[in-house]
Amino acid sequence: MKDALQSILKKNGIDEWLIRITGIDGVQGYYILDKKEMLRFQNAVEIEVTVYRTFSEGDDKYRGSMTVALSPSMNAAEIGEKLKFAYDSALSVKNKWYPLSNSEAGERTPTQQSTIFDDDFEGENKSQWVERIAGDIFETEHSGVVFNALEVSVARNEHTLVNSDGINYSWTDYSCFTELVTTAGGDKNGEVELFDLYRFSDYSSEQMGRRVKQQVLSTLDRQKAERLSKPGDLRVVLRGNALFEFFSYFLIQANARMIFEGMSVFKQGKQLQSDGDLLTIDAVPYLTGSDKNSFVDKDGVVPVPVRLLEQGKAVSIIADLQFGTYLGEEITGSSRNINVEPGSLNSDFFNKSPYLEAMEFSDFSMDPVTGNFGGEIRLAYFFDGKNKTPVTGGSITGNVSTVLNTLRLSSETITDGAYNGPDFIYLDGINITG
Amino acid sequence: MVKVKNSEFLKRIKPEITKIVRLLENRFDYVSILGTDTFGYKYQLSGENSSIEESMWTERGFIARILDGGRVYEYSFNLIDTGVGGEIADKIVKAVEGSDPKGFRQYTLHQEEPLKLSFNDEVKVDPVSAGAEKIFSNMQTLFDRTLEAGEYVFNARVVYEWARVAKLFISTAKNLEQTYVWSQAYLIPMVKKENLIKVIYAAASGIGGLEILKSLENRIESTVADAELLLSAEPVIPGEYDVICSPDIAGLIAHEAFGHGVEMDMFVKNRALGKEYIGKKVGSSLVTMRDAAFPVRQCGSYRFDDEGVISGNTLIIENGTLKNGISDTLSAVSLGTVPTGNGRRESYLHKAYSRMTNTYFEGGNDSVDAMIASVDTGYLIDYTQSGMEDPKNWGLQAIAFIGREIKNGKLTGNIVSPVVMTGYVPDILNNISMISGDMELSGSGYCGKGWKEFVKVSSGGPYIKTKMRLG
Repeated sequence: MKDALQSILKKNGIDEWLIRITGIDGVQGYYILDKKEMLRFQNAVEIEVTVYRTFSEGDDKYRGSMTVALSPSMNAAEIGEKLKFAYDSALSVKNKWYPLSNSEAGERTPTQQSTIFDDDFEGENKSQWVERIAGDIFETEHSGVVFNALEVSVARNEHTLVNSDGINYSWTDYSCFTELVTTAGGDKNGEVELFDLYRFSDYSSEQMGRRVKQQVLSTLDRQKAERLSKPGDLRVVLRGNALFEFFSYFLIQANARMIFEGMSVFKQGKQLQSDGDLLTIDAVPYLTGSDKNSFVDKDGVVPVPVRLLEQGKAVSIIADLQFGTYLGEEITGSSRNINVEPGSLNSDFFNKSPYLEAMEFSDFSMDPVTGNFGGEIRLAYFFDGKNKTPVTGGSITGNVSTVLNTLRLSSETITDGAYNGPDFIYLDGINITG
Repeated sequence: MVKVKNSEFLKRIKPEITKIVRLLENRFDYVSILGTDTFGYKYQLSGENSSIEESMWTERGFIARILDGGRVYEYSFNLIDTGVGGEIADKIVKAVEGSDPKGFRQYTLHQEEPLKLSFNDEVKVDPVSAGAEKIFSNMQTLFDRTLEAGEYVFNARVVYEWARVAKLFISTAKNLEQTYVWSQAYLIPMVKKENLIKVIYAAASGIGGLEILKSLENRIESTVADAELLLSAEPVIPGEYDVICSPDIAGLIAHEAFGHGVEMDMFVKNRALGKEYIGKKVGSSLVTMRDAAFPVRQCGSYRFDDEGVISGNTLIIENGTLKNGISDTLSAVSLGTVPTGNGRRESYLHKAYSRMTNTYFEGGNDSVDAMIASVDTGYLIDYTQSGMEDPKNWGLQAIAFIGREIKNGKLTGNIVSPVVMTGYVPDILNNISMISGDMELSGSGYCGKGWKEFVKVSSGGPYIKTKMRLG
């Protein structure tokens, strides 16, 4: 397919291009209780081609481009027609010129990480992965909790990325998810549920077991939870999935496009914090098991780790090929995982003054422009100074700029998906609605 | 108006797909194949940058659904050409026979009645033939006027996306084809005062073409004015308030609060409280709510769903009483009900679930002025930011960009932002005390099931007055 596409590009006089091909071989199991509702197979090839043009007006040099999706079921005439359309349309995209990723600049090599799937993902064997992962989940101790529904998806992706400037990469990765719905019934609050979507690229039975066990405990606690009422002025502790969302503010603010378009307040060298635990944050291309690992980014750049913040000071930005060039930055490629250095808080913190420890939200959201964040609480723990009780309902809202100088980070760390950093963070200046 | 062109690919490959169905129906209890050939482009323009890329909704592929001894399988593929139907049929048989048959639920699918349908929609200004130059020219006009519309506007983004949807469904009894075009457009002014940056958006969407982008022209001034108001917005003081929801927010509530709660695959899993309330009062008698893929013409419209069931027009709530849910085929089989034509997939690589289409509250008899005049202290809430469902416990979480302050029956001109709306869904619906007459639907976003499985939908309604907790 790669050679055929290059031949069609050449035939149409297109000499600047980038081809991305992904072969998908997947299997998915959908369960209601412990019985499969459906078993699905995926066997597909997806293709994207970006066509570039270099053109000038007066002394100004421009880069036009258009990205199109092709299908392996297209014949040569269809592909040629679509690429020609892209080539013509690219003239209407009048961006300042930037280079393509090239083999000279690309001395970095994509790091091929071994995965547990590599040894056993051939032919019909792959459907056994659904059974194995489902088995690990169903076998986790869950007295008092029902595994109401489960989805398991495992796919191997064979990637090829090649461009007209000599880049030629091939690599394999895995995109997987489980979605587990747990319920607990009772006489006080009726039946409650929690659900957890877990995306991963490598598999560990132990890690899955820990995650499911935590969900079971949280479900039982949500069943016992009191309605959050009249919370007053409380400190808030964030844990779980909300941590990635919270720190993603810095990942997006430090993005070259956001800075170029004037949407970011991130200024290199600026001290963002004067007090609290000072943040040191890196954007990293690879974390074990993360679904956001980037061996090569969409432009064909092999990304490198970038220190965004060091001791509360803005240090470097994520410079993709186009906008990094515009800003005159060294191109870093686009990393999508977050590494946050730990802080000073240990578990003694939890025995002191009152706080609200938020574990699960309906949907914790962060506005990457304004820094406003918040969500409805599905499960939290209220500590009144003596006793800790599970609570539910209500919401929290806050803004990054108003919490930075009271931000405290735990000394213990966790790695969960695309996040590696403090197990919990402490925030002051949060609005809590009961 | 011009007819939307059919997919030449689906026309060419239809005999091969039919052949696969015929080969497999001899081996299995039920076979169907859904074919998709959807394509479109997304155009973006901002200060010194523009781009054209394939729409995220582009797909060309097939899903074979198989019933074998009561077990349900699906096989997604896109490697196909004339003459390879037999080979694909063999792969499907091999995949099914190679998997462990133990541990499945048992299904007996509804007997399909013979049906042939070919639906070609029309479009006013065809985006397929409009070309990039014309589209960017329209976008540049919007961009330039936005920059001139306010004191604090430093940049803007204009987005236009369209998709031509073409689908084919072949089973033993059915032979269905549909083709239509939808478009959506955003105008996003960016405003800045000292170090404070704010953005907001106006959106337009519907079944149609380039005319949908142009419809944003009369919303430039009001959107920029609202963006500039955000620069002086204060956070809301948490508490329960009388609120008036704009059609946009009414749609968000219809969608998140009750739409997800009547997706009947959630009934099968006992994940939706709505299952217990069919035939019971769930809201004020002013409330009537529907989900209709047809004849409503918005981004959630179609003539048949992704399981080959003809589109429905489902009455969900009538005068405050919960009447019906919406279902995919497997859920209907499990529950002993009739499928409502709501089986939808993100793409050919995904499973079908019970999903909404165009979901809305019906209009009432009150004027917006009278609604505002009836509020002593409260907010008119506008501009959807996000929402999340909780059908099991009927909790609502939704976030809006703007709450316009109302004091003593008048808008004060002050706003709060952001506005997190939470509450118990029946309380919100029971507290609906006034509903305006005019109704609007918006389908510029997309809907997920949990945090994935995105499909195009629309939602809306009239202005509604209720009580909610704001934070």
